[in-house]
Amino acid sequence: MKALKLAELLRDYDGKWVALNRARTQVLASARSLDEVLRAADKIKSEKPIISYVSPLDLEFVG
Amino acid sequence: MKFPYQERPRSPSPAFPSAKSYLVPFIPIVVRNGSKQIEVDALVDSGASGCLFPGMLGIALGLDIYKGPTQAITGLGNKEVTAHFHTIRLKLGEEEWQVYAGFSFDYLGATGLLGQRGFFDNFRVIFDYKKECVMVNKRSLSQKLLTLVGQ
Repeated sequence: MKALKLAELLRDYDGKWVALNRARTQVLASARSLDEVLRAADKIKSEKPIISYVSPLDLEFVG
Repeated sequence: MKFPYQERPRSPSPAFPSAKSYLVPFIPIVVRNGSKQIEVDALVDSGASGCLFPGMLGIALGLDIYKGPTQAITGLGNKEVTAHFHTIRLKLGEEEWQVYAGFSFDYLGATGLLGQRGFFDNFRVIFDYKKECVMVNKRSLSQKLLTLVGQ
């Protein structure tokens, strides 16, 4: 199994919240706040998107 | 269940001058409260003591966040965040279970953290960085009992 290649798809969404299609090939909506992206995702009728946060590109995350 | 790691973007830094991406064990999980549910990418985080989600996600699920009992939480850098705890349900594949999870309006750096209490106590987790996947298997009742007696 190989990792899902999302680096290029998400590169322009630095520090944003995104709604991804289920195949994870498209960003269906994006916003600076989770609230906004959830509202945008609610309007998407074609499929139930997956909500995700894109960490600032200059920060390494340690959970 | 087997989930691929996600390759996420990053920018180069003095320490990692050629880095353009990194691998992280995010898995898709459904967070549910009653009839409301939202699917998010959550970090499988063995270093987290419990499960934690953004406060705004809880509001969208209809939770009265501030009514939940609080717990101060810390990680790196001695920064403290406050989480309000609520009982919700999580769904992963066909598995669904109840979790007492924290919701915080402080910066979490992720759409969700799946930690020891609420996730690792329900699943056996194997991280395989080289194979770029994380394996998550529901604990059977007998495994839970063996864990309880320290076997």
